Order: sequence, then structure tokens, then C-alpha cells
Amino acid sequence: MQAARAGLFVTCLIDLIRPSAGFAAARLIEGAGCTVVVPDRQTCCGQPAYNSGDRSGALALALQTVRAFADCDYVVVPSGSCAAMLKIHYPRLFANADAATQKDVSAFAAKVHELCAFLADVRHIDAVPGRYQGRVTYHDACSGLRELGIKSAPRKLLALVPGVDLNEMSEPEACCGFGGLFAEKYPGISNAIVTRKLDDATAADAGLLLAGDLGCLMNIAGKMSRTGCSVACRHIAEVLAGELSDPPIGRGPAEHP
Amino acid sequence: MSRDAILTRVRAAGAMTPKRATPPLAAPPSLTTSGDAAIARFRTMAAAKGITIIDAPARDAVPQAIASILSSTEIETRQIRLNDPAMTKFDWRASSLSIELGAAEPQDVMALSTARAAVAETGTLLLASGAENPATLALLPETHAIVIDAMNIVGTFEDALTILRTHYGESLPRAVNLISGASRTGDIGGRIVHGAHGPHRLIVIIVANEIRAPQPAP
Amino acid sequence: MKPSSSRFPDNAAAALANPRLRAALDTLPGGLVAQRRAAVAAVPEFEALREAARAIRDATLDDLASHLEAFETKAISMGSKVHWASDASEACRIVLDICRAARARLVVKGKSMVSEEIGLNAHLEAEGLEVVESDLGEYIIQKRGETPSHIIAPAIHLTEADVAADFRAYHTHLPADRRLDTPQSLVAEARNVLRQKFLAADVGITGANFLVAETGSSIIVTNEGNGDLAQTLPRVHIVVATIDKVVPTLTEAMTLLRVLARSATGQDMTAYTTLATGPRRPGDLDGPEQSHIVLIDNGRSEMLASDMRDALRCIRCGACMNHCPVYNAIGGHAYGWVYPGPIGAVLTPSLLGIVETSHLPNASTFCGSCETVCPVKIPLVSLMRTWRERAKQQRLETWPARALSKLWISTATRPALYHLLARVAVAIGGALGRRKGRFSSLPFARGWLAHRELPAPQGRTFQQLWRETERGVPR
Repeated sequence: MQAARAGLFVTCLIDLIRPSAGFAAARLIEGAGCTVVVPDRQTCCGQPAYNSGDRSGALALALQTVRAFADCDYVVVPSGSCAAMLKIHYPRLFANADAATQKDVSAFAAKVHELCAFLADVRHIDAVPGRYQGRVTYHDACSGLRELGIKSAPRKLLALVPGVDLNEMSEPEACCGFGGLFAEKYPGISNAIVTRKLDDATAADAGLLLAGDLGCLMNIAGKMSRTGCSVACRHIAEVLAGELSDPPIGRGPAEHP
Repeated sequence: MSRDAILTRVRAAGAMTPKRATPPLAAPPSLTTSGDAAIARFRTMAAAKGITIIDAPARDAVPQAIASILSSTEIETRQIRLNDPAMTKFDWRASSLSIELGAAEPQDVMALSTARAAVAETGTLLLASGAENPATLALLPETHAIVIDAMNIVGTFEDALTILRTHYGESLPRAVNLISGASRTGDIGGRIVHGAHGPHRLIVIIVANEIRAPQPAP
Repeated sequence: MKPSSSRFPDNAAAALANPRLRAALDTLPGGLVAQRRAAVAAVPEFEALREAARAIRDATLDDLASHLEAFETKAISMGSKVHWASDASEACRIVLDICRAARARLVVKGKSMVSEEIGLNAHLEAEGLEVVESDLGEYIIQKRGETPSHIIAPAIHLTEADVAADFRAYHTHLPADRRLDTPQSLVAEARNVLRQKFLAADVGITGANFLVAETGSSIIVTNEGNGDLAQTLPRVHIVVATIDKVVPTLTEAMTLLRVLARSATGQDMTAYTTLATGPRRPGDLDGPEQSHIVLIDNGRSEMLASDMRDALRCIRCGACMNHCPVYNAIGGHAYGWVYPGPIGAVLTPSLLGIVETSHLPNASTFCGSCETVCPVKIPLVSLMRTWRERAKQQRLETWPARALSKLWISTATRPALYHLLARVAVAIGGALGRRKGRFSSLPFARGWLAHRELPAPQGRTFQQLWRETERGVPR
């Protein structure tokens, strides 16, 4: 039997800022018995355009993405936010398109899975390569949680990592204040929101904060660095795959013994 | 005329989309009780709202029940405002209480009404205004006592509506008060304080020995 | 009131700099939010109730004209006078005319958001009437000359000490050395002051949570009982309500009540839920001699015909704002008008136009918490996104933002060019930022960098590494 072809939609942020998380994702997908392909016609999912009111820009990027992954059995996304865009919002964007396009888009949407949900709930993996000694906490990023219902999958996967001690924050589902362009447009409000997240993460007494979305992680890690908070931040795929050779997000080599 | 202009606009907007139907409605099973279970749930839910519950074996025992609760609390009055002939006919003086008839006056300390129904779902009393039970009795005095016959304690709001429709048909009394506890506010510093504008204290007297009417069909 | 929604960033900055406001808002998660969570957990069928509530509101709005006419007919037959107002000024004029015909001098009010929306108090006061708000929170902010900062907890932004200082300033007829150091003492003082107003008032004005077509009744929901006193003691009772408040039958109203209080305060029922039907009857010993109902459009029929119709399902519980991270950070006043939070970010542009209000739908992280708690399932994020589209179409964003988003789309839709530029940018960013792993300052992203560092790229793009390294052996 031929292995399933899983297209990795790497997301623009991981592509640009943190390729190591992308390789971690690829390694996990391969471990789940799939062949990983990375179409080079992918760029941005179009969510920033969509959420800032630019429908036509979002449509163009959506069409490009749908076509780029036409020959894949799965489209796996290491971000709940981008996955929700591909899975939930693409069909909405094309609600008024011709029947053939709508059919293509809904077939595409059906193939899309967020990374953790794919590993835990589609491939039902029971082992991961990673190991990590210490206490971690997990931030439920908003889109994955509320649009895709991803809650148990990352926790099931973390339970497979030898040595991981998951200590939940009091409000793991509270928004971190990133909100895409929101953090840049309304920095003061975003700061107030992320400050609460930092307080909660600090109280969880974990050395490492994990999440499935690089946007949230850049926001939380950026705030931690600015305030001198010692909690490190990583994409959950890095811990699951054991890709820990790069420093945590927003940290330099000197801070990564 | 604004009436016609508004209705024309609303009708035009309504015509733009197909009309959807309201699904059949029923009380959620977890909130539904009947019979003795309804009475038990009513007690629990009302008590959780800070309502004082006392029992009287029959309506003519209500004065004595009130006298006993007055002697065991700090309510300093022996005078009660009420206007329901079903209650005024009893011997209040035998319980060292006096009654005054009419709607509530600003200086009244305590009033007594008779509830039309009580709802176990939330521990709510349903009062219907009229000459016998003026609405002010439930609003002005610091302490409000409500008599409810056990047979009128029903499971859900749907059951209470059945009673209401049976009594009043298509014409409701001026005020139907659904009362679920004493007056309260959280407007100062988010802390709950009782007696904001209405009664500080709510007392319910459950009268036991009335013959149980058949429950509304489920 | 004059809206200040166009100054949202300044309003928000002021709110963020107000430590007492922040302290007051910090009580929300452990207060209304936790209480709702407990109330919802106690009813396993709550999701089905939300769905039923949504269906009731949708079906009613689909056939609103029929239900309004049915309500009017029944209300008239029960002795009420029904008035219709197209807009705010007509509604104010109608209420004023009723007050004048009754030779009224003192008006006591129950809590009503639409009266805030139409500026009713200011209109009546300008004509010489004394208008007293009787909801304790509304009374406090009326004295301060403020607007509600929350639709069900109007004075949520104030502390006990604020209220005590205000009462000393306003209630000058009371002894100066009285103690006002507990919520109980403050409530008792307000009760006494307002009781005299209730007894002396000529007209009582209340809003309506629902208008019931079946019975011609208005329903109000309170905990204080102030609305009941306002509609029972004065000679004249006036209900002001927008046209979307109608429900067809009492049975439907009961289903909506099951989700309303649970969503708002976490109570299964508030202390007082009252159906008022017409004036006092022959033989009644109390109740108003006149009952008036003013049905107000003020933009609702336009919303009904627009893609904002879903927002008319709102039953004003306030859950969306309680659960909103933005509202929790800045409170209600920053939104600059009557309705704050996510529902305000949808309603305010609908009622005032997007030009002056475009910040409101943009100032959201789209976290979606509001949608998950809305008892009538309003798609608040989608509706805010629609307003963002309108704002974009009307070119309301700044020119650099417009230029940047155009540049991003034109690059991202050319994958080869995109990947080339990405390589270059990431190489530069990686070289500059690699040592620290982050940037503390840059010539761009000033908003971001004002409060946090920007993590630096690792030096090469994933696409580049994926193609240039051995499969499965990164770098």
C-alpha cells in the first residue's frame, strides 16, 4: 500500500521566522506514515487580507493555495489559525463562485487538518520521537480552539512525550492579544491582554510554554523577552519531534546552553 | 405616518428572505419535574436564592406560621398588610398579629400576598396583580411573605403558563410578577447587597393540605 | 450623547492608564464570567436552548411586521396606547408629549439602553423635567454625567470609594458625618433617596426586554425591583422599546428568559421578571392610570434589510463583552457610544455609519469568545469582518496600511518572486538578529515593538532549506 501524500502548508510565519518548527512538523507527519510534500506554489493563506477586509486579495491567495495542493491526500498545517482559514473560511469565500470551483474548494477543505489534530485524531499515532525533561504549559490558540475544536489533541500528544509534565494555566483558552495585525494596530490593548497571559504562564510555574500557532508564540515570547520573564516559548511540534537544537523563540544562542 | 412607514420598511425587509419556522419548544428534561419532586426542587431552588421557607398544614395555620417566623427573626412588626379575602378571614389576633387591608403604603414593614403558582425549575413565585393581591405588596415593604398552596407548585415555566392561561384566558392581569428572591444589586463594587429597592427579605409559606390538582399533561 | 468612537485609540489609551478602571475590570473573570460558566454547566441542555433561542429570534425577525401588528392590536385591546417612532427625535418628542399631557414634573426611569441611544434624558431635561434614573448603577453614572460602561452593569468601572465620594457630594441634605464605608450603607442611602422619587414621580419610563404579541405585554428583567416600582407607582407608565423586541408568544419568551439571565449574570432567573399588560384595571388598588408603548425603529428596519440582520437577534445580556479580552482591557467607555464590546462593534457602525466608527470592528483579536457565549448565536466575528470590508471599500484605513496590504497581496500571489524576496529578507533579518534572537527596535513595526520584542528569523526560509538540504535531515 502506498503511503498517503501529505502536503505541508508550512505557513508564512514558520517559513520566514522559524523553519525548525516546519521541519519538526514534517518529521512528525512522516512518523505518522505519510510522505511529506511541500508545494512551492504556496505562500500566505490569505488570512491577513481576509481579516482586514480585503476579500479579493484573500480570494486570489485562496485559489493559489487550493491549486498548489491539488495532488495531495492531506493538507497538514502547523497552525490552528491558518488551518481554520483553509478549512472553514475558504468555502465561505467561494460561496458565490461557480459550481466547479466550489466543488474543488470543498474537496480541498475536507483534506485540511491542523497538525496536532491530524496526528492524534486522523493518524492516531501512539509514539513521538521527542523527549523533554521538565514542566510545560500549553496555550490554546483561539482559532484552532474555537473554530476547529482543537483541545484534546495537543494534550494527548504531549502525554506521549517521555518526561513532559504538563501544568495547565488557569485560563489556557484566554486570547494572548496577538490577533494578527491587531497587535500592531492597537499595541496598548494587545499589551494589556498579553500581560495577563504572562502572569498566568508565570503562575503555572513551567519552564516552557507551548502552542500550536507561531503568531501567538511570537507575541508571548516577544513580551517575555521584553519583561525578562524566564519562561521559554516553543511550537509544540518542536517538543513532539525532539527538534530542540535551536534556541527557543526570540532567544539567542547565548541564552540556549 | 411613522407607523405605516416603519411597517412598510419592515415588511419589505422580511420579504427579502424566506421565512423560517420556530421549532417546537419544551422545557429541558433536566429542569422538568412534577408532583412531589417539583415541591422538593422548589424548596431547594428557592432556598438557594435566600428565600425563607416555612410550612403550614392548612391556610388557617398561616397566621401562626408567620407569628413563629417573626418571633425567631429580627423583624420588628406585628402588623401585616394584605388584601386577599382568602387570608383576611382567619383569626390573626389569636397569633398576636394585626392586619391592614389595601395596597402597600410606604411605611409598611411587612406584606403578605398569595401566589398563583410557584415554579420548581428555578424556585420562582408567580404573582398576579388584582384587587386581592396588589402589586405594591411585593415591592414596597422590607419583608414580603407569599402564601403558596402546595398543589400550585409546578415543574416548569410552561406549566405555570398553563395555569395562567387557564385562569385568565387571553387577558392577563395588569402585572404578572415572577419573583425569584429578594431585591438585590451588584452595582457597587460588584458585591451583592439585598434590599436595593424592593424587599430585603422574602418568606414563602407552603400550605400543605389542599387537594392536589391533576398536573398539566407532559 | 455625542459619540467619540472615532477617537477610540485615545479613549483606549486613557482607559489603559486608569488603574482604578483596570482594578474594577479585573473582577470580571472571577465574577460574571465564572458565574455564567457555573449556570451553564448546571443545564446539560444549554446548547439546545441556545439553538432554540436563535431559532425563535430568527423566525420572529423574518416575519417581524406581522408580529408587530399583532402586538399593537393586542396591546391596544388591553388598554395601552401604542406609538411609533421612526427615529430618535420622534421618539423623544412622543415621550415629551405624553409627559406634558400628564402635566408631569418628575420622571423616574428603569434601566433602558434605547433611552441612552436616543438621548431621552437630555431631551426631557432640556424641557424642564426632572429625570431620575433608578437602577442603582444608572443612578450613580447619571449623577456623574457619564454613560453606562456595560449594558447590564452600568457602573462597573467605579469602585465603592468612588460611589461614596459621589454620594457625599450629591446628597447634601444628609448628615456630613454619616458612615458610607460599606456597600450596604451605600445601597441603603440610595434606596431612601430614590424611594422618595418613586413616590413623588408623575411618570415612570422603562425599557422592555421583550414585547409579547400574544398578550400585548412588556417584559422587564431586573434584580433591584426598580423597574417594577417605576411601572407601578407613577400615574403614567411609558415603555420605550425598539421594534426588534417582539416575541410572538409567552412560551417563546420563556425559552429566551432561560438563556438571558444565565448568560448575563449566571442567575437562572433574576429576582424580578415582570409582565406588564396595560393600565390599572377596574378594582385594582395600584398601578398606573395610563400605559403607553413607544415602538422605535431608529435604524432597525435598515439593519433588517441588510447583512447585519443577525445582530438584531441580540437580547442584550452582555456576555459578549464579559468574555471579550479587549473589553476586559479597556472597559466600555472607550468604545465611545452606548453599546460597547463585540455587539457594540457591530451595532454602532450599523446605527451611526462606518465612517466615524471603523475602529470598533477593527479593534478585535477575532478570538471568537463572544460567539461561543452568545445566547442567540450571533456570528459576531463575521459581522465585524463585514464592517472591516466596508471600511476598506470606503478607504478608511491609513495610506501606509493600504499600500502595505497591496504590496503583500501582489507579492504573495507570485510565489517565485515571493520566495526570492523572502530569502533575501530573512537572510538580512537573520544576520542582524541572530545573536540576540530578537529585535528590540526597528524602523518599522513600532506598535509591536512599543511593548515587546520581535523574534528574529533563523536565517533561511523553510522553503529554501527544504529544497537545499537532504530529505529528512534538516541542515
